[in-house]
Amino acid sequence: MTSSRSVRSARWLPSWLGSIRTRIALLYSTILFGLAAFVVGVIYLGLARTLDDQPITRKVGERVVITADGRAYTFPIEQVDSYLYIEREANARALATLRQYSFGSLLILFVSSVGVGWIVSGRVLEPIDDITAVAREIQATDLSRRINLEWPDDELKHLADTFDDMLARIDQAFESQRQFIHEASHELRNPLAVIRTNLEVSLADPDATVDDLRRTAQVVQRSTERMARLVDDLLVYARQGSLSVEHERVDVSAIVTGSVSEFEAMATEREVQLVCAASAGLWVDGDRLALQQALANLLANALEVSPAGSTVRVSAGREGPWVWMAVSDEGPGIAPEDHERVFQRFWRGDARTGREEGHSGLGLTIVRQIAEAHGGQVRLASALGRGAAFTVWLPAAPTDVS
Amino acid sequence: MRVLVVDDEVDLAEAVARGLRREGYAVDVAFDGGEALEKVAVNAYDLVCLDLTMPGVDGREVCRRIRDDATLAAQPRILMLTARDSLEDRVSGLDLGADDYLVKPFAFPELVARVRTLLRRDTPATSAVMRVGELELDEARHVARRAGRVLDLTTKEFALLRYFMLHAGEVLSQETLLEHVWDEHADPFTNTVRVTVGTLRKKLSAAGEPPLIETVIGRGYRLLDQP
Repeated sequence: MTSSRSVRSARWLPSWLGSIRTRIALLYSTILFGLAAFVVGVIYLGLARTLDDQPITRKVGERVVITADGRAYTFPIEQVDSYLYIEREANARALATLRQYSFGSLLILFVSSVGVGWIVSGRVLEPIDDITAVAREIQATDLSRRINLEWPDDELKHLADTFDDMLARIDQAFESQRQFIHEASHELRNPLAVIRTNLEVSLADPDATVDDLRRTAQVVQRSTERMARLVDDLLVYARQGSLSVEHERVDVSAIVTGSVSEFEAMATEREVQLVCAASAGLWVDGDRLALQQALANLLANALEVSPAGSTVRVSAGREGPWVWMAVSDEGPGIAPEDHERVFQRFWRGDARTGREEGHSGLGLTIVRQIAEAHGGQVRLASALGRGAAFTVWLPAAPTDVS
Repeated sequence: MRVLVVDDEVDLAEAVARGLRREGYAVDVAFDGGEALEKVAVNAYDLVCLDLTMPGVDGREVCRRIRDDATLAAQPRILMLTARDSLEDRVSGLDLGADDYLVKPFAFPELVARVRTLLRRDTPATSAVMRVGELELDEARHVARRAGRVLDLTTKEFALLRYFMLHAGEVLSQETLLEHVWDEHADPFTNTVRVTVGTLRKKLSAAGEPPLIETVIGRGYRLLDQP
């Protein structure tokens, strides 16, 4: 970036003008010189005019003549100076001396102002060199460096501090990305290990029967399904994290009724009753698909933990400036110490059953991400043996269209 | 040689167990830390393949408890299996008392080679080929010979011979053999040990050589290390 900028300036300016320090010094001295020249010029011209306007005659007195019709006329009585020539010569010399001194001092002023400008701008711009040096040292992979400018609290200090803050934020973002990639690859490694070991053990066995090989193929199938689901969820997660929410007016009650009818078949299969209660016209500004995804994740979880014969309730409503949608089940519930952990990436209540049912461990993380991207949040109310209720709170649309 | 495979990935644990059984090891499986500790307390394992990340009692905890357990007659070797491959993970695993560390997904032949190496550690043998007197046993190729003659052994007989050779000259009781060469599914009330020792003995002397395994009455069996 810096190089393209300098290339551009180099194209416009001779190289010795490429430094901002030179330019400031020159600009400063040129302006100072211009102002001084103007002042000197005005003084010179003013003086010259005054001297030129000096009458060559001197008035001695006035004579008043009154005519017959009563009008009065005034005539000056003038006396021609005999030293007139000498006086004019003296004026001209004084002006010439003034000119000389003016030009001389203007020249000295210009030279010294260039020097002073050079020194002053150098001092002022000194921290910029520090900032540049740090910026140059920072590699994309190591963002731990900071400028930490030792400088009075002024604009450049603010610039350096802002730069440091930005570095900290980028560093944090990179770190969380690294962490995420680490976790995700770890999650992908497990099914990969299952596939690889099963294949190697089966293929190396000369006595493997068709049944053995079929069992191996089934294990591979299970594992690839798991990986596919994980990759799908990773994509949803990454998409939520990178794109800003696309805003449109969305009716939450429509999302609720839509999702409930989608999950009807799964509920019947699991012998779970699905009850829906939502008042119409719950408007929020948000991303319809994302909100559908959030509710679908909650519903899928609820149905999976629900024992046969129990009820899953989906409801939505409005509370002051908030619109909420909630999913509650009568499953085994979540222990208080896990209430925060359920939202963590790749957390599974019981890893073994969770994995066998194909959980990626990202479902609730995605719900929370979607809620927060909408300026809302997700709350959990649950106790062991008493089921769980997840509620997504979203800010209501400013003007209610209902 | 008796091995316990501990992993919460059922499909992985069972595949590893299947592969190791084919190599002639007696293999039991545990699917979580608690189950692993119970089995370690009951059975005398020579080696534990331990997954590091498990729900509940994780691999670290299992490793620590095994190492702190003074009631164990002999400490098993511990081979950690894990998907975590950072330096800290490996160092902390080894510091907890693991003997070796293998990152998932691993190549199965490598796992077998490491298991072999770990189980050989307290014997003078330095390669995959063990020698006791006229006997020669190539673990990697699964071949046993007596004075150059190839012995036609079943997997179980091979495993039994390997155990005898690792403890040449020692008197091994039926219980010890049952514990280290058979897995938990073996019925301790059958005479499976006696029968297998008998067939092995016969195959060792099939060409009319003098017997190599002697019976120490009331105590067990011994492989003669001097021909």
